[in-house]
Amino acid sequence: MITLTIDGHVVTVKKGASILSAAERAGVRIPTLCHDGRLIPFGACRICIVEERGREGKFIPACFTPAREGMDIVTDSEGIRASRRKKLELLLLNHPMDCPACDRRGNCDLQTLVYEYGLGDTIYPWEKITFAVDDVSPFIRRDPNKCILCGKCVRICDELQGRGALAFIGRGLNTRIGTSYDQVLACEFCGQCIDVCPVGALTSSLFDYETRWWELKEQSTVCGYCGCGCTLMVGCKEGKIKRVESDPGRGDNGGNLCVKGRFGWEYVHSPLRLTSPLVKKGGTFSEVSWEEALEVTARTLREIKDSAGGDALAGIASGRLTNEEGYLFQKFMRGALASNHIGHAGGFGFDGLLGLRESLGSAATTTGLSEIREADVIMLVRCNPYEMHPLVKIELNYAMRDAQPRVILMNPVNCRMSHPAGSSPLRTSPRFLHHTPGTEIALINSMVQVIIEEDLIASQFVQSSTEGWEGLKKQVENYTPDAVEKITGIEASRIRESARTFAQGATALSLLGPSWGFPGDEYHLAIALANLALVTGNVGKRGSGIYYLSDRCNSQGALDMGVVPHLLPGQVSLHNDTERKRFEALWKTELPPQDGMGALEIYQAAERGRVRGLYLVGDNPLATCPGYDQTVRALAALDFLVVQELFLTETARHARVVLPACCFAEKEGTYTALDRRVQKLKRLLPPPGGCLPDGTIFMKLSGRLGFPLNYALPGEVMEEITNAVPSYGGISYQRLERGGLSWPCSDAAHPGTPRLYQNGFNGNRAKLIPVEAPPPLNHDAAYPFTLLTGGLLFHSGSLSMMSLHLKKVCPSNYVEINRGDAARLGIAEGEEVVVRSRSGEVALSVTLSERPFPGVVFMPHHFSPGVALLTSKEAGYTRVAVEKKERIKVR
Amino acid sequence: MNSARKSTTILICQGSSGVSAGAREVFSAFSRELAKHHLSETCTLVKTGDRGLFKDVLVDVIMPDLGRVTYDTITVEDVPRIAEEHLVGKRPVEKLMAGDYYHAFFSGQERLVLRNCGEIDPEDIESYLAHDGFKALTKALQKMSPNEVIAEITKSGLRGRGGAGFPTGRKWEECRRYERLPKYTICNADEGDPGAFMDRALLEGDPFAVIEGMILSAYAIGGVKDGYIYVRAEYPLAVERLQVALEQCRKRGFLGRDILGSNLTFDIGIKRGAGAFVCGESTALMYSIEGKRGMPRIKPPRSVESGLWTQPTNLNNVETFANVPPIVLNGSEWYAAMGTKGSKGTKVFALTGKVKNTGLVEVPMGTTVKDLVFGPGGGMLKNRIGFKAVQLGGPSGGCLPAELLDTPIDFDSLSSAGSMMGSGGMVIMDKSTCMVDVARFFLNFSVNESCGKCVPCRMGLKVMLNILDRIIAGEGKEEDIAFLEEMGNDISTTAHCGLGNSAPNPVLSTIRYFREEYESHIREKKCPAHVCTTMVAFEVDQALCTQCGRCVKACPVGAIAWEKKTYPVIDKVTCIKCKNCISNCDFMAIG
Repeated sequence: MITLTIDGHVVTVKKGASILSAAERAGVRIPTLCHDGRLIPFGACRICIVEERGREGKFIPACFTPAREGMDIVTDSEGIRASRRKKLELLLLNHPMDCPACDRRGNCDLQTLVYEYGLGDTIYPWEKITFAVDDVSPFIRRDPNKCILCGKCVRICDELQGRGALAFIGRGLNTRIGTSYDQVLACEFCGQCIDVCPVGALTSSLFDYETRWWELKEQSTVCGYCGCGCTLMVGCKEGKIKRVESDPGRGDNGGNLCVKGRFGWEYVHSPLRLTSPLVKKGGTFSEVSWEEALEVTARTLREIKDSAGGDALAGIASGRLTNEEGYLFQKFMRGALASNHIGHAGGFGFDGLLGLRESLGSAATTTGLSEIREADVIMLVRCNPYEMHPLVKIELNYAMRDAQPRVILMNPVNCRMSHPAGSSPLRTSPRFLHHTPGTEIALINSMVQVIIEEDLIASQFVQSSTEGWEGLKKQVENYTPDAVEKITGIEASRIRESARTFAQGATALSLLGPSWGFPGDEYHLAIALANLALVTGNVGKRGSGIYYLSDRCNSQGALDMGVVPHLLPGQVSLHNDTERKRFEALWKTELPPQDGMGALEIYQAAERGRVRGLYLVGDNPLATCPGYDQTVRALAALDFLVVQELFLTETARHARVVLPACCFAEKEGTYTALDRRVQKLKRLLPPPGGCLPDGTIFMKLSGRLGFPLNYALPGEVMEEITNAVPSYGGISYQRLERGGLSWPCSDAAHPGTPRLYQNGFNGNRAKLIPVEAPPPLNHDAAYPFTLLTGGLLFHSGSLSMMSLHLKKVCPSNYVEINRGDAARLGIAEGEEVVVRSRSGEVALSVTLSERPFPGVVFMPHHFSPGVALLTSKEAGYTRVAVEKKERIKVR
Repeated sequence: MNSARKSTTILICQGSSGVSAGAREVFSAFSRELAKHHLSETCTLVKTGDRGLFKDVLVDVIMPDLGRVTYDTITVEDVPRIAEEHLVGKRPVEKLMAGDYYHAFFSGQERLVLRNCGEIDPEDIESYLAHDGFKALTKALQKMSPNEVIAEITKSGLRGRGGAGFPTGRKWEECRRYERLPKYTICNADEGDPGAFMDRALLEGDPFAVIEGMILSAYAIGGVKDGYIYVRAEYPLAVERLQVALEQCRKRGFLGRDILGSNLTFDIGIKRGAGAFVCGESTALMYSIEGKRGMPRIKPPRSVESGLWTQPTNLNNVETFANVPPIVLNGSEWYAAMGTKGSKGTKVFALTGKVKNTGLVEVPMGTTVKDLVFGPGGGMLKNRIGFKAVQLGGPSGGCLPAELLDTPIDFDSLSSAGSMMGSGGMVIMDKSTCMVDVARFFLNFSVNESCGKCVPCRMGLKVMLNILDRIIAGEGKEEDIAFLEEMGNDISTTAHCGLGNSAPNPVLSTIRYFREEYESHIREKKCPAHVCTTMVAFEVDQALCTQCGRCVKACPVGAIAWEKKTYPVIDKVTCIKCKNCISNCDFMAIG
C-alpha cells in the first residue's frame, strides 16, 4: 500500500494505482477527457496534469502515472490551469461551434471544461480541417469534425468488445477515427463508443434530434433480453422510450451494454403491439373487453378441468416473466387448474441446470459473472457468448486483457474469440477443441481420465467434499484420449494437453451454454463438467466454478419460482412430502403430487389428445419449438388455446383467446440473472391500450376459477416468495433499490452469495456421477450434415424481430455452410438453397464461412418458419441435406 | 576465396550511395578488365559498403608493393585506364586519385563502429570473420557468463545511440531480471531523422556486427529466442544485405539452435517499417511489429517489463548493437578509455550542410563541433560566408551558435546547451541560412509526422508552425516570439512521448540563440539571411558586390542586367523570385 497526499488529503492506495485513482479516492476531482476507468489509460488529452510540490512546473499526467509513497500532489495551480486552458484552446481550434444544434449540448465533457476554464476567442492562427460525416451506418452516427481524438471509442471497441471496428487513421492533423477502408460500420453496434464519447462525435441515430437530453426522465431498470442482467438507464419522455444508456456507476455490468440492450427497445413502441384482448368468433378475432376475454378463458378452462381433470390442462411460460409473475403462474396452474404440466418456453435449455443440481445441490450457476476476470483457466463448452451473452464476452475480454487466463474452447462451431488490446496472444490464444457435434461428454470424461491417470486431482478436496470417487474413476477408464480421439475427431495429445491446462491452473472455470440446438444431452453434459470441476477442486473457490448461460432474462428465476413440471418454488421436488405439505398449507390448497410434463411432452401429449387446454404465456412455439408440423398438429388438436403475448404471433393466430400483456418496461417485479443476481425492474411507461401485466392477468383468471390470488402490488407477491423460498428469504424491494442480491440470501441482514459452495455443499458432499457419452450420431448418406442452431447477436426471438433497426441489420434467415462443403456442392455465397430433413424442408439463402466445420451447417433459430420445420420433438441433433434450389426445380 | 595466392585486392564501395553513382557497373567493368588482362587469378574484387564519404564511386586498389591507393568519383570509363596503368603497369593513376581532402576526412576520425564499412564484403560472412567477426560471440559463449557480459557492457559506459542515451548495460540487466518468458531483443533500425543515415551505412556496410551485437544481447539477457530488426522499407539495400547476412549466419551456426555448441538458441526476423517517423519510438515500434498502429503507449510498464506482445523486451539502436562486439572482445577498460566522463566510446555523425566534406564521421565522444567542422568536415563550404550554427539531433534537436563551437559533443554537454545528441544528424549552417526557416523546416517535419495521439503535439505544433509561417510571410506580430516560447515550453512539458517533448526544440533553441533574427523578421520585415522570399527586395548591395556576374548566369529568366565592372541590376518585373542569384552569390550581396 502506498500513502500520498493530494491537495492536502492523505490517501492510501494499492501499489500501482494511478495518481488519478488516488485522487478519486481522496475525493479530489481531476478533469480528464480521455480517461475511462474500464480502459487502459491512454494519456492523450493531457488535461489531467498535476504537479508534485517542490517540483512545480514539471507536469505529471495523473491518469497513468503511478502514485509513489510520500508524493505531495497539487491538482490545481496557476501553471496547471494555464496549461489545461491551452489544451482546451487547442482542441477548440478545429471543433465546430455548432453546440446549440448538437445532441450533446450541456452533456459534453469538452463544453463543461471550456465553461469551467472560461475561454474566449482563440488567438491562434488556424484554418479548419473538415472530415466527411458518416450518417448512413446503422445506429451510430460519426462526425469526425467534433472528435477530439481521445481514443475512448477505439479502445472500448478493442479492449472490451474485442471488435476493433474503429481505429486511428492518418497522421498528424489528418489523424481521425475511422473504419477499415472507410466503409460504413459493420460492427456489433453495441453503441459502447457512443457512451464513452466525451463530445458529440459519436451519437445514436435513433436518438439524434429526437429530444434534448434534459427533457428525459432517466431511470434505471434491468434489461429484458438475455440472462446477463444488465442495468439499463432508460430515458423516457411523454410515455415513450427515447434512448437507453448505461452508467458505469450503476449495476453490475459496469456501464457496458450490447446492441440488444441499448438499441433493442423499439418493439416496446411497435404499432403491432396488441392493445386489446381478442376472442376468436367464427374463425376471426374480435376485440373484446377484458371481462369477456377472461370469462371465456376461465369458463373453458374450468369445463376442461371438470370434465377431464387438471391433467388435461397445461401451461407454458416464457423466461421473460418476472419472478413474481412466474410464481403466480405456477401457483395458478397448480392451485387453480390442479396441473403440474408447467413448461418453460425454450425449456430444452433447462436441463443443464438440473444436472448441476444433481451433482452440486443447486440448479444454478455457481459463481458471479465478475469472477470470470479472476480465473486462471477458462473453458467454454458449447457456448457462444460473443453473440448470445455479450456481457459474458466483455467479462472474458476483461480477463484476457488483465489476468490473461489460458482459454480452452470446446465447440462444434468455430466461434469468435478475440485478443483485446493489452492481452498477450502468447498466453491467451485459445486451445480449440473443435469436435464432432454431440461428443462433449466423451471429451470431458477423457479429460477427467487424463487428470486421474496423471495424478493431477485435487485429492484433499475430492476426499473431504465429494462422494462417488471410486465409481467415477472406474467409469472414465474407458475414455482414454486415444479412444476418444476416434469419437470426437480431436487428437489424443490435445485432449491430454487441455486436461493438464485445466488441472494445473490455479483456478479454472467453465462456461456451458444452451447453444447449438436441441441436442438433449445437457443434463448429462453438466454432470460431466461438474465431475471435471470437482476432481480438480474448482468449485467454491474464487475464479472457479461452472456457469450455465441461460438465454432469457429470467430463465433462472423461472426455475427458482417453480415454472418447472417437477419442482416447486425454491427448486423443491414435488415428491418431497414435507415441502409439498408446507406449500399446501401456505397456499391453502391441495397440490397434485405427480410430476408434470415439460414443454416438449406437452405438445406431444396434445397431439395425442391427452392435453386439451393450453395456456401459453409469451411463447411462440411455431417459431421456436422443434418440430413445426408436430406443433401445428398439437395446436389443432387442442380444445382450447389461450395465448398471452405482446404481439399477434403465428402461434397466437391459432388461439381462441389472445390476452395482451405488458413488456419489461411497463411493469414492476424482479429478474434473477444467470448468476443468481435478483434485480428490480421498474415500471417506466404506462402500458399501451388495454395491456395488463402478466401477473394481474393470472390473478384475475385465478379468482374466476375459485382460487383467489389477491395481491395489490408485485411487492406483496415478493413478500410471499420470501416466505415460500428460503434462499430468497432476505430479498426485499427496498434492498434491491440499492443493487442486486445473489441468492441464497436468507434474511434481511444476509449480504447475498455471489459464490456458492464456499463452505461445502450444505452439509452434504458433492456427487461424482459417472455419465456415459451418448452414442454417436448415425451416418445418413441422404442427410449428410448435422444441423446446429443458435442465437444471434442481433436477435433473441420475437422481441428483437419486432425492433425495426435490429431487423434492418439482420433481416432474414440464412444457412451458414463451410466453404469447403459449399464448394463441393457447387453452392455460392448468397445463393438460394433448400435445406431438407426427415421432418421437412425450408428454402433460404446461403452464407459461406469457416465457422461451421465440414459436415456441419448452422441456422439461427429466430426466424420463422425456419429451423422448426426441420427438427422434431423426438430427435436430438437433426441431420439435413442442402441442395441448390434450381436443381430441385428441375427434379 | 583463396586470397593467399591473390596479391591484389580491389575494394569497390557499393552502398546505396555507391550503387546510385554506378558502382555496380564499375564493378562489372573491373571484372571485364581483369579477365582481359588475365588478372582474375591474382586480383580479388571486393564489393564493400559505403565508407562514409560520398565521393562515389570510391575504389581502393591494394597491392603489396604499392600499398593502398584510393580513387574517387570513378566511372566505367576510368576503369580500363586504372587496369592498364595501375594493375598492369604498376603506376597508380595520379589524376584519378582522391586528393588530400580524403585523408583529412579520415585522419580526424576514430573508426570503431564503422571499422568494417568499406573494408569488408557485407554479403560474405567469411569477409567479416576475417576481420575478427564473431570472435566476441565465441569469447562470450565459451568464457563468459551472461552476467559477465552485462557487467562488461555496464563497465564500458556504453549509452544508447538512438538519442536518449540510456545506459545499455542497465537496460539489459533490467530485462534479465524479469522472469516471464519468452523475452525479445529488438534492433531499432527505423532511422527517420531528416539528414541521418548512420544506420543505413552500417547495415549496408557491416550487417554482421549488428547481428553479433544482437546475439550477444540475447545471450546476456537470457530467455530470448527471437529477435527483430525493425528496418525502414525505404532502405531496400540494407534489408537485402540483412537477409543475406542472416541466412549466412544461420548456415554457419551463429543463429538457430544451440549456437556454437552452447545451449543458446536464437534467431532474428526482419520487420520492415512503413515509413512512419513515430515508429522509431520504442513502444510505437513494438506495436508496429505486432501489426498494430504505431503510437507511443503509456509508461509504465517499461518495455523491459512488458514490451513486445507484453513480454519483457530489450530494444537498442543499430549503432549501439555495433558497439557491443568490440567491447566484449577488447574489454570495457579499452572502451571506456575513449570519450568523456559521462559519454564513453565514439559516436557516428551524419555531417551535412555547408561544409566541404559531407558524410559519416566517427569521432570519440567529447570532440568539439569545431574539430569536426574543420577536421573531417574540411571547413566551411564558402569561406567568405562564415559559420553560423550547427543543428544537432534532427527534429528533436536544436541549433548551437558560433559561440558554442567549442562545446564538446557528448550527451550531457549538448543537452545543457539546449540541443541533443539525437541519433547523430549534424547539419552545418553558414550565414546564408535563415534560422526561422530552419526551425520551420524541422517543425513542419514534426507536424507531418506527429502520430496524432496527444493534443499538444498534434495541435500545438501546428499552431507553432502557423505562427512561423506568418513570421516568414512578413506578417509576424510582436507577441509571436513569446507565443512560440510559451507554446513550445508547454508542449515540451506535456506532450506524451519523447518525440513530442523534443519537437519544439528547433524553434526554442533558435529563439534562444538567434532571437534577433526573429525580431528582424517581425519588426523590420527583414530576413538577414535573404532566404524568406517575401522579405527579399531582390536588390544588389553594392557594398558587398564584387561585380563577378555569377548571379547573371544563374538567373533562368534573364532578369539581371550587367556588364563587366558594373553592378548588376535586377528587373523586378521579369524576376520570378527563384533565388538562384542569391544562392549563387558567394558574398550575400543580393537581398
